[in-house]
Amino acid sequence: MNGATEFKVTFDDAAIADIKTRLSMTRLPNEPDGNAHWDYGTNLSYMERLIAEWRDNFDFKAAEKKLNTYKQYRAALTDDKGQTHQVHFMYEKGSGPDAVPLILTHGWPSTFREFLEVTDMLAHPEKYGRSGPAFDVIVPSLIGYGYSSCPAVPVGPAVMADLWHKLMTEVLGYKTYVAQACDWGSFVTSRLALQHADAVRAIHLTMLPLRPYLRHESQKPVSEEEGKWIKEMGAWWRQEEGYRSIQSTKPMALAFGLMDSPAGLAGWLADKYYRLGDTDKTTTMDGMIARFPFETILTQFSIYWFSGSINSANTLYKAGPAEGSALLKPGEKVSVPVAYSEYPMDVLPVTPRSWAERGYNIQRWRIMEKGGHFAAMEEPEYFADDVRDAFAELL
Amino acid sequence: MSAPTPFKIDIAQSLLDKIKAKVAAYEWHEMPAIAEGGNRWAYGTDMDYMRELCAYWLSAYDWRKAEATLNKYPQFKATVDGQEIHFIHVKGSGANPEPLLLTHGWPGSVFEFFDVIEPLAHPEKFGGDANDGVTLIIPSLPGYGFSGKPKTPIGPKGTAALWDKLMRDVLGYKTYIAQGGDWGSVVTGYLGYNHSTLKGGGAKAVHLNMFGIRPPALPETDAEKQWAAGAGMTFELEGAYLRLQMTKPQTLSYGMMDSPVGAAAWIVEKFYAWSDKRGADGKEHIENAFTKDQLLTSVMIYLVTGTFNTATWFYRGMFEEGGANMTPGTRIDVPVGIACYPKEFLVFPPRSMMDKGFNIVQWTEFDHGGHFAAMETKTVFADDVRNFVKKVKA
Repeated sequence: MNGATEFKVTFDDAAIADIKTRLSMTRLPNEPDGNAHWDYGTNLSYMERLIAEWRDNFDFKAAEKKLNTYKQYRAALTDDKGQTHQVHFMYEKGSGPDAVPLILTHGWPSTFREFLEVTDMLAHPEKYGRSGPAFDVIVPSLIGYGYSSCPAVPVGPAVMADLWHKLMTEVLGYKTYVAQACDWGSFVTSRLALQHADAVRAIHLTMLPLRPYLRHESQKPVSEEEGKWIKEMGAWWRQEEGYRSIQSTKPMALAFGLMDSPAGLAGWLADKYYRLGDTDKTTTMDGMIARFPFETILTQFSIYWFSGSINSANTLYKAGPAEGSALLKPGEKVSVPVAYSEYPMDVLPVTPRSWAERGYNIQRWRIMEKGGHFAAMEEPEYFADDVRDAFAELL
Repeated sequence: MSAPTPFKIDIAQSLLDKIKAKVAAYEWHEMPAIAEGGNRWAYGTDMDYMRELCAYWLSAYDWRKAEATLNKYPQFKATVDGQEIHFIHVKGSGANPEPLLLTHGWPGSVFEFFDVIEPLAHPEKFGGDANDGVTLIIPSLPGYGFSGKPKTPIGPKGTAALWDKLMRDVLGYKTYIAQGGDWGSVVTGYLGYNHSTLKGGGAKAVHLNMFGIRPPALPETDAEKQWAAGAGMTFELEGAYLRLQMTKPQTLSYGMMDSPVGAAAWIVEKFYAWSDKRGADGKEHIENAFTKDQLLTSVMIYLVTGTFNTATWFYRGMFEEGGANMTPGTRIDVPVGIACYPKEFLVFPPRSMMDKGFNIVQWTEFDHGGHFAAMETKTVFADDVRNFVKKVKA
């Protein structure tokens, strides 16, 4: 390893005492009648329970210990504009001499913790009675998230993709590698495949963020099925896009409250876990708690809180679009082999494969039966098996 | 329905202390780097300004002084259709003062009107004619300030129905004139649309200083299309708070209810973005439009009443009412006054399009002022409204 220093997560005692005081002093909102299914946003009874759990029952030291299960490092990497970032990453070498390097990238509102369960499964399949490739697992924190540094000038996924490539090649010494991701991670990973196609052997995505340039001769007219899907997606987004809308225009209008109030931070993020996870939405909180136990979700929120990164994390929604890296150029397409696995997400309709193929070289296509937007956390074995099988097929 | 009972604001010291303690404990953090000479509000609320404002909040701002100002005029509470309504009621000078209902918006309060109460109620104190005085009724919207918190969201259409009952059934005014900006403009539009004297209600004329209720017309002329394109662009850049508040107010509320600095940043950003900040030196600064005391009192009204959350429900309320569009073939037939301030962010369409939905008898374009016109322009606003009242009261 070249130029990386070891890193351990620390939740220090003073900060733990401080968050408990803040949680005790929380001033809660009231709630409109009819919010049992979170229709007006994060449910109040759930939040009352979460605040009590965080303050009274959550074992900060156990969570800290678990986050340090695998070796972690920070590497100073400089982007094209000369800005230097501390890239935090978790690293577990796979079993055997032929382990394939795999970089897994999380999104918002998640952290590197999303991949804690699947790291062992992917690095050491034999421990789980699985054959198939073992992977050297590399899990970075997005720039501005968790234990990567907060950039003075916000950066987007194209910049992060170049940093990831430097991490994999210059720091870790790999010539080629594979990548997997969802959410913002899928953005970075798609850009990685576009910008470093010579080194990226294949990618596995659970979200397809790059948009095809439709007004180009290589693109067929939008089919009836695609048109229907686009319309249904639009209707869903109109209900759900508030967070994205504010984070992409005025993240600093929101930041002060989320940086000051752990309940505020949790209220803002819990909504996404409820909505995008494969939660039983017929219940007010049982389904949510079953899918995302407090131990797990409060570790996620604690990382955001103790690292003080919610502001820089949210700002990715402004820096990303500003980079203009979401729209493929006329005729451009991700050429490396792509495995796409779509997990059920709320009431969203299944993506038409024809749409996916406009921007991606889809070589493997799966519609998954369980697990949602946070699949690696929600259904670790199911997720790990799918990723392993996919790369076994594509490599 | 209940008879109005007198009301005075008297916030417990313990709550004021809690708010101040949280402001004092705020841990300042980073914000994205802004290039030299760049707009420090480009990402939302400027950190440096918030630090300055919070320092003032802790060292110089005096809620008790603001409370005394807010208690300067007679205030009442009355219950209309189960909703408790707080309102200021100031009798005007002259023999027969016309009742004028003033409605504030978000993120404002009745405090928006404090600089225009005297000039409107008692013009003789400002060199005018006592007979031009109006009797002012200034309610707090449902879920705002000192009004009660509804159990479920109420929107502008529902609020207009409450206002008409307040004016006629509770206060006994057979007819009245109404004025509003922001939500006040939408509520006031609905008073003219659903509760006018021509439709059995009491609103005999309405005066608006923001484009709220929409005429039943699509943009046709080039100027109208240009306006629509501009409005669409503004919505993309400025509309996020609205998208969020009309869909998931609860998701936002946990941070904003718990963090006074958080709520202040959310609210102050709007005062910044929507106002006329131009100074004599050609530079823009929020304090060219508002003093720190004005900003903090506006914020404190949300904090001391714990209404950040329920105030945002108004957006969801409009969404549930199905928007604010006039039905094709209908319009507001009672006299309408339109006041166009240059830095308003929801600008009126061209007159040609407005005429399709409004019986416009007064159209004024100003060279100064923004969204919070009463606070920003004071006597200019009062003069315009008084002219309108004189024109339509007979």
